[in-house]
Amino acid sequence: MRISSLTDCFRRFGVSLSAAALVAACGAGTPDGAAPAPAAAIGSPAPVSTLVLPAGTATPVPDSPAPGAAAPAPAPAPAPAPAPAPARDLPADATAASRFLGKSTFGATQTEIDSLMSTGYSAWIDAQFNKSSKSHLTDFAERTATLTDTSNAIPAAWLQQSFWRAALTGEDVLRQRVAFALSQILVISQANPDIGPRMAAAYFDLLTRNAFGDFRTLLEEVTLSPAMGLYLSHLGNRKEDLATGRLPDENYAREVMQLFTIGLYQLNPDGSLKLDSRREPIETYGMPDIAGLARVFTGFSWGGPDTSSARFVNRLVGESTRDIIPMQGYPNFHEQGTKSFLGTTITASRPADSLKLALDHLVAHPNVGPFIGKQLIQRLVTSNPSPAYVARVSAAFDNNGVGRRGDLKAVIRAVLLDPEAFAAPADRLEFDGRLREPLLRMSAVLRATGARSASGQFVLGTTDDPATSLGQSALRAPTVFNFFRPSYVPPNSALAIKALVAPELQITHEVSVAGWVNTVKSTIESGIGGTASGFTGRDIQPDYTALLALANDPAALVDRVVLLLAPGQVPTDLRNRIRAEVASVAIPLTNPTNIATARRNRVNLALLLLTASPEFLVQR
Amino acid sequence: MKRSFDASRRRFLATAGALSAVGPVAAPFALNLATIGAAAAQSVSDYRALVCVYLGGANDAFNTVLATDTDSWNGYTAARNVLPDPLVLPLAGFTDGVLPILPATAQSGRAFALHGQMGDMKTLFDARRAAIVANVGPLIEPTTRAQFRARSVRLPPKLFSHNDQTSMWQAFGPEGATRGWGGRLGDLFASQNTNASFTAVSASGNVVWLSGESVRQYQMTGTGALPVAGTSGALYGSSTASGALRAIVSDRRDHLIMREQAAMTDRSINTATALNGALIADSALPAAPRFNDATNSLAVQLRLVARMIGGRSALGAKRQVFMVSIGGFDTHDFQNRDHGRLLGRVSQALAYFDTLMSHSSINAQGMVTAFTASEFGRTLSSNGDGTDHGWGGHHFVVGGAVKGGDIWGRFPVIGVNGADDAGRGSVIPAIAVDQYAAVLARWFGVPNSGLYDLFPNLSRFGSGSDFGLPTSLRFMNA
Repeated sequence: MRISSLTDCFRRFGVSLSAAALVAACGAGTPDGAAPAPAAAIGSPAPVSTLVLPAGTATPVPDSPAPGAAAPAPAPAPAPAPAPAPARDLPADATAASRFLGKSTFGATQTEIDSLMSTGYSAWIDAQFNKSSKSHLTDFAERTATLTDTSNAIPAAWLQQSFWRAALTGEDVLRQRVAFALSQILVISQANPDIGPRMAAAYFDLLTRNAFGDFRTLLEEVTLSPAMGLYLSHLGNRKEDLATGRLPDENYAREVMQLFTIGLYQLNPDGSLKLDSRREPIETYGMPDIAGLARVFTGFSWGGPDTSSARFVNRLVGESTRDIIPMQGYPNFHEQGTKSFLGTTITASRPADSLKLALDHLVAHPNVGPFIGKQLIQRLVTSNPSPAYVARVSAAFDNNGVGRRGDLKAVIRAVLLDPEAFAAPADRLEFDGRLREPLLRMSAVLRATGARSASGQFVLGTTDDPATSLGQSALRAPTVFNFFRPSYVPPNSALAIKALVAPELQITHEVSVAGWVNTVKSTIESGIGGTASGFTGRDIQPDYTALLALANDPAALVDRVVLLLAPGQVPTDLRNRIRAEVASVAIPLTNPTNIATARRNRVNLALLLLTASPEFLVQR
Repeated sequence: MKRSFDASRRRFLATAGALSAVGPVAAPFALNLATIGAAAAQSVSDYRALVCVYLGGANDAFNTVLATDTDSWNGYTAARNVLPDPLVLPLAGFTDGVLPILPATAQSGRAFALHGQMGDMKTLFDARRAAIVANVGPLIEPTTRAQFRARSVRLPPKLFSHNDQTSMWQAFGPEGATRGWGGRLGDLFASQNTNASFTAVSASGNVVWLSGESVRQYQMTGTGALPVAGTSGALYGSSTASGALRAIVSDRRDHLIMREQAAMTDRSINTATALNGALIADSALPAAPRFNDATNSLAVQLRLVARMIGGRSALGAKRQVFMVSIGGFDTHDFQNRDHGRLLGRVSQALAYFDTLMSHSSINAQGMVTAFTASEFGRTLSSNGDGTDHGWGGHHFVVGGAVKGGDIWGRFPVIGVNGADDAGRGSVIPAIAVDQYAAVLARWFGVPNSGLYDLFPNLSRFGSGSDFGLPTSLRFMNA
């Protein structure tokens, strides 16, 4: 990251600093780029910024002062003292609350705004940590129970439908959003036809269940899930056979390091690359490490009552529950020799013992905090967090305040409550935030408009096609490298010149941009999804009661949709333009049918002009 | 990151600077590039297109093109006749047996065949419309087994990693490289096209291969370009709202992510009419064939490319680069179940595309060359029902300008721990991607003097008159 001036640095960190502290915070060329972590807790009294900003940086949109915009004092990145419980961290106003909910849920609703404004950020998060979830498998079971003919396999669309149900109606809004983020880091995909809907549902459930748990446990459940076992092919993987030259399958060993834990290069706690004496990045692992770790992931196959060879090898047809229970170890197929990788040697002979030691070793690697932490920031808050922000999240991963490593609750708190996530409009950077990915756009629109499924089944199947739909479906990434890469830099762009990334732009192209406008327009007009049996029209329908009540007042109507969908993100001129266009739809005086049509047109127009705008599409 | 286009880009910049110094005012960089391109291309009059057929996930080249002489077959079966699910293909004459081919140029003591599902490719090969280029892969410099084991030569970064080797093939740098050689070809020739937007076209998502210095890739899907609804005429009872929508989605923004979003939308709207007006009618071409009663997505993509090539006059296009792709080749598992039907689709789609090029509404035979690429070959060794990440692999080049019916390049020794094995049956490439690409680029119209700039490692594979491309590799007619 290039920070060209102290002013840029100030704006980047979004905090009020003395000149001396500014120099200290921005490192002024410190070799490792180590950045300070703030000692101040969220909710501390927030002094108003007193630095004069360059002309033209203030946006005219009123927004709340950032609750986290407290002056940070430099502190070493690792293991900060646990923050004292914040006394008071209420959102300054509904805009601030909605903005936070854009990052922490599938989209703001008035109900959640009210809840957050009455409890404050920290207590809201605590409450979310304790909300119960309805699992996708439970949803499947309830639906299966209503079927008269159960001879057919569960349709693949059920997973998508359950995803929308959870995203649009679940009370566990934070958990669902974090589970979705995890599904894009620890990737399996139903694009692989071997991953059936039940298997995928069980996988989504394990991500959801562990979203506020412990990373080490999450990684073990992921590793042992049959969905991952089939997707990255360690299910049924066998030990080396010297006689025939057969070698263990290396697929999972490679990707668990490259994508799920440590990445390719050694990292500083702030996410920057460690460099060797020649200023080159230092690789985290080599081929021998992959070959060694591959020996660990041998001798795992379907769970079941015995560990017979027949059960091990019977790969695609089997009993009713093996697709949703963890894989188990089969000692006969597990590598008995030494298994060496990343400087450790495992001599265990039982699969479970080898696995435990290997995962302990991986999760202890200092890369995991910055590698996973930065990606969670990118999924929830911003594509280009400052090194200091990454360092604060890494520190929370390394130590949750009471000495525990890998506590995802601490990580999520650090991600969502960081001062940088609360930068006031005047302090925002020209590249802050993130492009909302298509699923999160649609979920935001549907939640903001109180959309409900007529049938209760959320009849919306895969939404893969970027021309006619969203160009993205949950758990259907094209490969284990997700829909887009965290380091994607759009070519030929101002972002590239500044060495900035924009992952979601990797799935943005001539077709997808048109497809989004067309799809959201159609959804605003007619809802989305197929028609459920016994119903008419699209199954998921917005409820415009609240918006129609504002239709006679274009300013109020536009303010309302801006609050829910793009809080604090719409400059005055755009807001005025949308208001003027809405007002250009005349409401007749007499004919009730025409009056209703005109009101609805105003609602449609306010929603379309906003949700097609880059100001909505980039969540800041 | 190190071995990307940076070095050649610096040379380009230097050249551009020298050129602009001649003129009264320094022109923008993109214009300078176009100047170089025009000079290099000397105003082309004909039409040529390259179509990259990307086999995502890394194709198992060693079950695609097989050496069937006794020594090779023994090495092959020793590596792959491994339980529980041996990967050895049946010999010719048996059910689903391999399909023998007879290259025009013999390789001493060797005999060859294609996978049993590649009947269409065999037909193309026999008709000399398809050639095989043996054992291609990313290399920094010529590399032998001894050199690899001693680490005495520079090696491509992040060997065996999907995303990085994909980027190495397409852009000569690991993930993070931003300019691919297809896009660089586009930079050189975009000025020859009336509408530069259609110089580098993807029918299969965002790929670094098509990103140039100035050329941006254009993405099509399904039926061509997609109009944005609501941007003209009345909208929701307002006569002005559609104009507002058009402006709101595409006006320039200061915020850098918004700026890209808006610019992309602007481009989408501006190009849709031109493209849809130029594509030859959907009904003019035979439907894309289905494979085993299922949609052949590669054939569908190639059909769209063919419709655009058919519209080349209307578009004013002289030089185009296209990308199509098919995934699923990462056969760690279930290789026997999955690999044949993937190859069958590729084979069928390329044969279909070849017939389209000579269709009366297109008439581009000899003007269009399709070639395969894939991030790496797979290991000769088996993991019991699949193969792991390897390095070199064999590739197909199809079209009327190809010196077909032959295998170009020395076919590697087939056998684990053989002379070409980097270890575990990963075969060290004998032909660098730079060389494979440079032969195609020369045919496309790049003069010899431009090759070293485009292909950063090429100069290490030869010098002087052959530009790293010995006659034995020149698989394209002029």
